[in-house]
Amino acid sequence: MHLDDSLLVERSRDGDLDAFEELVKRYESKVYTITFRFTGNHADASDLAQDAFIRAYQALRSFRGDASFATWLFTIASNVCRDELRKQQRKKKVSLDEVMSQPGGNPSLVTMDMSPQECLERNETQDLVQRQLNSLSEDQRLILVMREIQGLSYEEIASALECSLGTVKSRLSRARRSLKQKVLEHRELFDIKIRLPNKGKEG
Amino acid sequence: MQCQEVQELLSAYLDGMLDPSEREAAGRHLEQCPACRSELEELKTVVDLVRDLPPVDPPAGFRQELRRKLERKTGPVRKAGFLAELTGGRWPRILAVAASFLLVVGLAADWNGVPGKYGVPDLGARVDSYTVNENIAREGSYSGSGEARVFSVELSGYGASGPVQPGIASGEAGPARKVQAERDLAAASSASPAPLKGNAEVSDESLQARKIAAGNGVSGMAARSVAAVPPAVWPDRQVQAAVEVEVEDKTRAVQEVISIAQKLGGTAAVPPVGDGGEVIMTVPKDHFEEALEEIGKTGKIMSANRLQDEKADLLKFTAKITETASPGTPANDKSGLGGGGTAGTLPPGSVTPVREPEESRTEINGVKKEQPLTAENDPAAESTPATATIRVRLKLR
Repeated sequence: MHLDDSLLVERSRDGDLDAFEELVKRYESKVYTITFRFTGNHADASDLAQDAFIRAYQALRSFRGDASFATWLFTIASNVCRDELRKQQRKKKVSLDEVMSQPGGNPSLVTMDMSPQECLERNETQDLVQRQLNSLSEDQRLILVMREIQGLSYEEIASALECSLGTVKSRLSRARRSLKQKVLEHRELFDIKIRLPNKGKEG
Repeated sequence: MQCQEVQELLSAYLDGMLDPSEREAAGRHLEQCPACRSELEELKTVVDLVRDLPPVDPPAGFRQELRRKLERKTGPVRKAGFLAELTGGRWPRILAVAASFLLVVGLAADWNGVPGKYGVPDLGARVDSYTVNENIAREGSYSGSGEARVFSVELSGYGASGPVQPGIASGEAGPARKVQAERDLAAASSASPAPLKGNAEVSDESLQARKIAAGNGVSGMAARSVAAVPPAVWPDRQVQAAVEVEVEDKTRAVQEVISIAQKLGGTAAVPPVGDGGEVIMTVPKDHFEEALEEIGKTGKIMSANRLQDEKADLLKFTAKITETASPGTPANDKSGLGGGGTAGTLPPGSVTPVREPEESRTEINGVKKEQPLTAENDPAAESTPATATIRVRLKLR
């Protein structure tokens, strides 16, 4: 499999777009999942995923084959998300999310909306999880995507985000705990589908 | 260890990322503290929720759009010849569609009238797209390989004598160049033994030859190549409507459109140039609306435009063609058609021209090389054909 990849990488380097398209075919789903989980909507996810592939294509010469092409590509995908995050932070585009503004929950700010159609199309629980992800800050969402969706190690995250291992630990911990908090706030929504363990805060 | 402290370690604890000493301390605390155990469980549940999110497939057309972007950045990669790409390649389809549209625009212009004069479509948007194609033609975007040169001959014949800007129309030289261009194309096209011809057919054309040629056109279409000319549907005054349809299966749709034409007592065939995704149909005028309706059933209609009448100009133009075309051309055509009339998917008899242009032909021949016909002195102008010609563009969904 990786042998094939490296052959295709060779050809793509020589400008063979058909070879590169084969690589795209192999990894588009993984790359798209990363960008979709990060953005929470198809339009932006599509743009970012395409950016990732274009960046990869243009950077093929610098790919030395130390890691697998897949790993290298996914790193680019999360870099694209990270850069988008930085762009977003510069020009905050925020809108109110309806679910978040339900009674009992803090109206949360989310960066991107999902269309009603998109919501209907997907499984309710998954949709709710994605919505809670959307309601986190972008850097929290990014580190969660890297760790839980991409399955990157702490070391890999540290090098991608250019920070220390300790920072990864604490950031990831904070991101997970805020997500847990969001989920618990909407516990009644999740209880339809899943059983969260009972909260016994007395100790 | 305090609960607060432990709960901050739980995330790393889940991942096995704690130092051995921290891990041990946290473990001991968890054994004794139900609150922290509950906290750990909740955390694990939430992490699993995210990890269990399914992969998401990119939307349809993702790869195609990406490819377009990459080509724009890097320039198209041409490995095969251009004509080969037209028929075989998957990616160059867009180029092919653009190119064939350009050619069709040129053809339609010839049908519609004199180069430089255009059957002005109803929608301004379409005029814009013509202009764009015109620019492509002038830039010579399609030359570069051996085959592409053949292609650019066609462009100079059809497209560059193009009608949007009268300034670049070649005037008197136009028809002659066009005929030459067609011969070049015929020589280059191995798919068709029949020399290709255009409006010159008006000068000398028998009903029989037209039938055979129509059969040729259909067989050529079936072979999905740049096939023989179907003069049976050639200049029947002009194209009165242009329809763009999105279909699942191009080849089948072409067949369907031909069937529609036949059902309504008309004819249809694939023009000699293009990618085979274009059908010109001629039907009795009474069945014009019905034909459009039927075409709509072959797929999803993307656009439908009625084109304007430019009858007088067409007459002038056909007269000029008659003047310019060498006497040998029609004879060659006939023999060529006879030799090429093989294995049409439709029996020649089933393709019946809607209009026998007996009178107009005679008249045009009568004034050959003497005086150009005008709408005023041409008797054929009064006998308006009772047919309507529709250009059907089929696009893959």
